[in-house]
Amino acid sequence: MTDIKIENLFKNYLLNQKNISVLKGLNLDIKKEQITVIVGKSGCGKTTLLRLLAGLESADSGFIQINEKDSLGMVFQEPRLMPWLTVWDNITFGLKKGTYKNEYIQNLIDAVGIGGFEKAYPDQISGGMMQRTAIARVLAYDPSIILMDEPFASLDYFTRQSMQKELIAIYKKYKKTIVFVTHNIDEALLIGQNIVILKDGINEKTYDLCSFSYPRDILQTEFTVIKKDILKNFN
Amino acid sequence: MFAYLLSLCLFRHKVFFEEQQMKRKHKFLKSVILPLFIIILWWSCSKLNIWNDYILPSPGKILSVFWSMIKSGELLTHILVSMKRVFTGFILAFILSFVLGVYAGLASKQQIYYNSTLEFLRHIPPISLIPLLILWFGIGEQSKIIIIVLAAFFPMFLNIKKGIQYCDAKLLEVGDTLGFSSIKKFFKITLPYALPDVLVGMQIGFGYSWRAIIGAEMIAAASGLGYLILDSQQMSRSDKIIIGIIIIGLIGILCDRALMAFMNKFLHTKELKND
Repeated sequence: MTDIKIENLFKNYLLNQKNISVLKGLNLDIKKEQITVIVGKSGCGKTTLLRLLAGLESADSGFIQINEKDSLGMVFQEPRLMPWLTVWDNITFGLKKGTYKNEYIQNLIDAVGIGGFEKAYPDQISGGMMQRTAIARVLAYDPSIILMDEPFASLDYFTRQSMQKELIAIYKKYKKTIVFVTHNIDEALLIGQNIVILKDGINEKTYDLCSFSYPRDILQTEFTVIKKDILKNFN
Repeated sequence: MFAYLLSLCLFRHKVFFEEQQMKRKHKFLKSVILPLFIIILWWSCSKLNIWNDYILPSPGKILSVFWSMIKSGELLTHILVSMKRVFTGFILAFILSFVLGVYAGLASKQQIYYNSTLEFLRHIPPISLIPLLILWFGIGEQSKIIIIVLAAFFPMFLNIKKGIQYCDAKLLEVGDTLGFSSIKKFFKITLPYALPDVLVGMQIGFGYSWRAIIGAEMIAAASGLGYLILDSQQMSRSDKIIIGIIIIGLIGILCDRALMAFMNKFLHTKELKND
């Protein structure tokens, strides 16, 4: 079942009086309650696509169809936490007072693995913890669609690995539609149920990985074959 | 085993507490070295009669006059009068600068219309307006409070404007993705983000208003610390002049520390923490 339908999407930017086309007629279906990973080289329009989906920018032409009942939440490349608020207050930042239960927030904190740091301020925790807090903030807001813009890009190898595992666990628990942008093919193979190759502003190829369960061993032959094919399409 | 662990914990807590106390004591001792040196130098010069007692009275004489001024209530009256004027003017200046600063920060594209006028007014020292203010508002309280408002307005206005105008666009986008309205974004993101600048503006503005009131009282007043200094000069009482100056400095430090404590209580901002 499709959650987001993108048709013939165009987006241009004017940079130093030069027109730069980022998206050139993109067509894409994002399936409900699945993890769709958008991969592509830097500057291919991955972030632009997410910003258009989140409504932070508007497209030049084409259309994005999102179910009216659906709500969107976004995890940015940087945690973007409010520095004057504690971890707990950052997580409940998008919620109205009295509309949530403390147990619910505590469960989220435990799910993302930052238990015990509720009263800490962003400058007192590590980059990985900040990103976990940003994920918990989006989960607390409880959107049906989560957009993630290279959320683990700035993390070290080990933190990144644990965050990928956490994301899969969270997905299994909360069953959200996740659109995950990355330029890391291994990451895409580890977490994606659908992998979309974005190249020169269009959907170059889509891979369906729904038949592969979690956790995945990307050194398996099937994954290496897919990886080779992705790399072939990348260049 | 439990008793051993408990005693170890208590011991470590005691050591930590003592270390903190020692650090505080060291900080205090370091901060009083220079004032003590100045007082000792001053006292030695007085003892050696390097200066005439009429030009620079000895610390002992200053202390005895200070005590008699406290006992008679003269000093407290002057302090309270000056403080009342400062607080009234400062509060008015804050309200005015907050409203205009928020507007200027949010509508930064409009600054082309008022920037040059603002720059012109900013460079005029409020003291230079005293003759005109006396002419327009008389020598009553009004003219003194207007001087304070003029002195405190610009640092607060410019800091509030800066804090609001340069709110991190990335944080505002978080508000957008969480479905915040413009008003909600202002109260939940823009204003808390600007708070350190607002408080720094208040700190500078308070210092400016304190300086301005002393100037205003030296020209047209019958009470207040500025009046005390000028009146003492006319009476050739250099001891009272020095007391007036010391009190101004001490009140300045106390108000600054109080504002700093307030800032540290409400802000989790490393830069503002007072060492």
